[in-house]
Amino acid sequence: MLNMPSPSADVLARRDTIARDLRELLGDEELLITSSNELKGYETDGLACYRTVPMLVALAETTEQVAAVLKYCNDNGVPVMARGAGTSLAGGALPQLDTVVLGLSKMNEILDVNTENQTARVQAGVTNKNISVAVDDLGLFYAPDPSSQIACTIGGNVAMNSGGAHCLKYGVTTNHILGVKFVTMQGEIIDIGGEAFDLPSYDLLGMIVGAEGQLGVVTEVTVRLMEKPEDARPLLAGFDSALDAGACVAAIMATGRTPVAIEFMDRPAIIACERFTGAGYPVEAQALLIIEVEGNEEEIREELEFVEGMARAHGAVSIRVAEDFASAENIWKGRKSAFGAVGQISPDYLCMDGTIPVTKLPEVLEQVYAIGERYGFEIANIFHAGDGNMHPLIMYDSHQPGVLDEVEACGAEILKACVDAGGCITGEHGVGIEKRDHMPLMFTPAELDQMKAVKRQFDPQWLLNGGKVFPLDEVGIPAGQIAPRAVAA
Amino acid sequence: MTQTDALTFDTPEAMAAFIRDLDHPIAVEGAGTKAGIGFPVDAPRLSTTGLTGITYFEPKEFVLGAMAGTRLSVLEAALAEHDLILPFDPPRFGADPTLGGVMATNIGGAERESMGAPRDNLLGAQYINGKGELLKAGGRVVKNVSGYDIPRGLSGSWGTLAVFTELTVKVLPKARAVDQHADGLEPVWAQDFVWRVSLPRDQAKALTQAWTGLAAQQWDGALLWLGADAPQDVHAMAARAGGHALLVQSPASHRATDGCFQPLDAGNITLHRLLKNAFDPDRRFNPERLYRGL
Ligand SMILES: Cc1cc2nc3c(=O)[nH]c(=O)nc-3n(C[C@H](O)[C@H](O)[C@H](O)COP(=O)(O)OP(=O)(O)OC[C@H]3O[C@@H](n4cnc5c(N)ncnc54)[C@H](O)[C@@H]3O)c2cc1C
Repeated sequence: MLNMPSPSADVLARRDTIARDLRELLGDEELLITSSNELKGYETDGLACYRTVPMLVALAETTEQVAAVLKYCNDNGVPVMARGAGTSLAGGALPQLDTVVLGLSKMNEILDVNTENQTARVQAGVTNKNISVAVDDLGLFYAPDPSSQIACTIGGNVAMNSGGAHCLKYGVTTNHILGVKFVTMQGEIIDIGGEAFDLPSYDLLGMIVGAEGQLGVVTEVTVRLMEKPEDARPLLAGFDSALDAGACVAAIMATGRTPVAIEFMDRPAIIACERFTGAGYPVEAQALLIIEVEGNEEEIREELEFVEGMARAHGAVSIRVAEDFASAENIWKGRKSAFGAVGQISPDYLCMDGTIPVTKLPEVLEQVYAIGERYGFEIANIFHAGDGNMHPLIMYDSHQPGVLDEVEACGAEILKACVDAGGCITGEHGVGIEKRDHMPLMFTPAELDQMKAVKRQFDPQWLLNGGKVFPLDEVGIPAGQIAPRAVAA
Repeated sequence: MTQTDALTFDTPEAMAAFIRDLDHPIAVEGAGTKAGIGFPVDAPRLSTTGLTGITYFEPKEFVLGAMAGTRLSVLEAALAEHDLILPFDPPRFGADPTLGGVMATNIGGAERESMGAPRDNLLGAQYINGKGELLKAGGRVVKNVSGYDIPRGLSGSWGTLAVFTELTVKVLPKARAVDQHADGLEPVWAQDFVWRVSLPRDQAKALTQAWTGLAAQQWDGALLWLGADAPQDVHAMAARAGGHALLVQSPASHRATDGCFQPLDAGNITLHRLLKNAFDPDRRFNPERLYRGL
C-alpha cells in the first residue's frame, strides 16, 4: 500500500469558508460540488485500487475561472489538482482528503481549425478522439492515440505525455503540441507557443508536457494535425509462443521498416478480448501481433508482404489480413478494449508500463512470466511492442487480504527487470502515485532534487497535485514541501 | 579573445568539479559555430569540445549515444557504415557543430516537418547544472515519461541552464530520408543581417510580400530566411504573424545592443526566469546571452 501525505487539519477545518469563497469566484452555484454523494464521483481514476474523496470539486468553464481558483488556493494554502477525464492509470488524478479538484471536462470546445497550417486549437477538456473526429472531413487527424482516446482529454494527454498504438510511427504527445494556454499556481495566464514550429528560446513546452500537471494547469492546447494516409490495414498474426512473437517484433524493427503500429497480446489477453468483443482473434494461439501498415494500394501491398514474410519466418501459425474497413475496425476493436476485457475475467488488475529496448523483448517477457509465477499471479500482456512499451497486467482479487502489497511487490520486480534491461519504469502512463516510490530505480537523489527544484520554482508551497511523482520522505510529504502548509491569508 | 582561449576538459567529472568551484560566470560553447548569435557574453569561455566519442551505439535499436563535444561529421560517418542517418539535419552554419550545441540550440533542419526538430529525437542526456552537479535524465528508449522531461526542457536553452555532457538520440535508416533543400539560401546568407523566422504557414505569403530584402523559404512556407543589408524590425513582423524570429547573422556591434532572440512577453520571461533559478541559481552560465536580466 502506498502512503499519501496526511491531510492538513487546518485546511479541512476551513472547508466551509473555502467552499463559500470558491462559489463566489466561480460565480455559479452549480459549478461547485460539495455533497459527499457527488464528490464520490471524483475519488479515483484508472488506478481504482486507490480512492480518496476530495474536499471539494470546482468545475471550470473558462480560463479565468481556472486562474481565479488557482490564485485563491495559492493565497490560502489549499491543495488543488486538475482533472480531465480521470483515466490516469498511475493515480495521477487521485485527490487527497484536503484537495480541491479542478475539473476541466466542461471546457470541451474545439476553438479553431486551420487547414493550411494543419493545426487545431482546442480547450483542455476536449477528448483526444474528438479532435480527430472534428477534422476527419478535412483529411486530417491528431496522431497520438491512447487506447482510452474516447474518454481521455487532451489536457490529461499533455500532462502525462501520453502515447498510443500509432505513436510508433508518429511520435508521442510532446511531438505534436505547438502551444498551450498555461495558468500558473499564482493565477497568471500565459500563452506559450502558437501555430508556428518550435519556440523562440527555452523549450517551455518540453518542460510542461509530461510534468503531470504539477507545474501549472493547461486550459487550451494547439496541436499539430497530420494528413490521413490514403489507407491503412492491420494484419493479425498468431504464434505458438509468446517469445516467438517477441522475437518477430525485434526482427521487424531491426530492419528499419517501421510499420505504423505493432501491438502484442498473449494468451490470457487474447482469450479475454475474444470473449469480450468477439473480434475473431485466434484463441488457440499463445500470442498475437497486430501489425498495421499504411500508404497507397501499392505501398500497402508491399509492406503487408514484408510483414507477413517476417511473421512466417518467426513461426506465425495463423495470419489474417483485414480486407476492408469493417474488418480492420474489428481487429482494432479487440485491442482497444483489451483493458476492459481483462477487467471482465479478473476482479482487479494492476497495469505496468515499463519500457525496454525492443531487442530485449523476448528476454524480458520470459522474466515477466517467471516473476508472475513466483508470486502466484496470472499476468496478461498487452502492449505497444514496436517501441518496447510493455503493459503486463497483473490480475488479482482485492478481496484477498493483503493482496495489494503482493501485487505491488510483483510489479516492482517487473519494473526493475525493465530498468536492468536498459529501459525505464514508465513509457506513457506516467509516475503518478503508483510509480512514485520506484523513481530511485532510475534517478539519484540529486537527479530527483533537480526535478523538484523545477517544481519548487513553479509552486513553492507544493500545493498543485502534490504527493505524486516523487517519493514521499519519512514524514509523509515530499521533501521541499512546507509543513505545515503555509497560510498566507 | 581567440579561439584557443576556451577551457576544455577530458571528462564530465573534471568539468563538473571546475563548475562547482566557480566564483564567476562563464561563457558555455560547443564548437562555437553559433558564436555570432545572442548578446556577447563577457566571461571566460568553456567549451565541450574536449568531451568526444561515441558512447553507445546499437544499430538494431536505432539509438546512438555520444559525448556532447562530438562533431556531427563524426557521428554521420559512424552512422553511414550502417546505412543510418541523424533524423534531424540542423543547419551547419558553415562548419561542423557538436551534438551538444545542436541540442542546446534546437534549430530544426530542412526536414523538421517530417523528422522533427533536434529535441524531438532526443532520448536522454547527461548534464552539469549551475551548481556543478553531474546529472542524467531521460534514457535510451523512445518512450519514457519517468519524471519531468529534463532533456527537452534544456533543449533550446543555449547553454544558459546547463552544460550537456552526453546525449542519446534516435537515428534512422537512410532509406527514410527525404531531401528538402531550400532555393535561394546562399544569397540570403551573403547579406549582413540574416533572420530565421518560424511562422504559421498561412502567414508566409503576406510576410514575404511585405519584405523588401532577400528571402528564401523552407518547410512549405513555415520557415523563412530573410536577408538585408541593414537592421529591420523582423521580430515585430514575426510576432504579428504569430511566429518568432532569430537573428542568426549580424555585425557584432548591432548584436551587442539589440540582441538576437525574439522578445518575449512578461509571462514567458517569468517562466524562463523560473527555469534559470531551478538550474543555474547563481547565474554562472552564459549570463544575458538570450535576454537582458536573465
Ligand atoms: C483503458 C485505458 C487505456 C489507456 N490507454 C492508454 C494508452 O494507450 N496510452 C497512454 O499513454 N495512456 C493510456 N491510458 C492512461 C490515460 O488515459 C492517459 O494518461 C490520459 O492522458 C489521461 O487523461 P485524462 O483526461 O483522463 O487525465 P486525468 O486522469 O484526469 O488526469 C491525469 C493527470 O493529468 C493532470 N491533468 C489533467 N488535465 C490537466 C490540465 N488540463 N492541465 C494540467 N494537468 C492536467 C491531472 O492533474 C492528473 O495528474 C489508458 C487508460 C485507460 C483507463
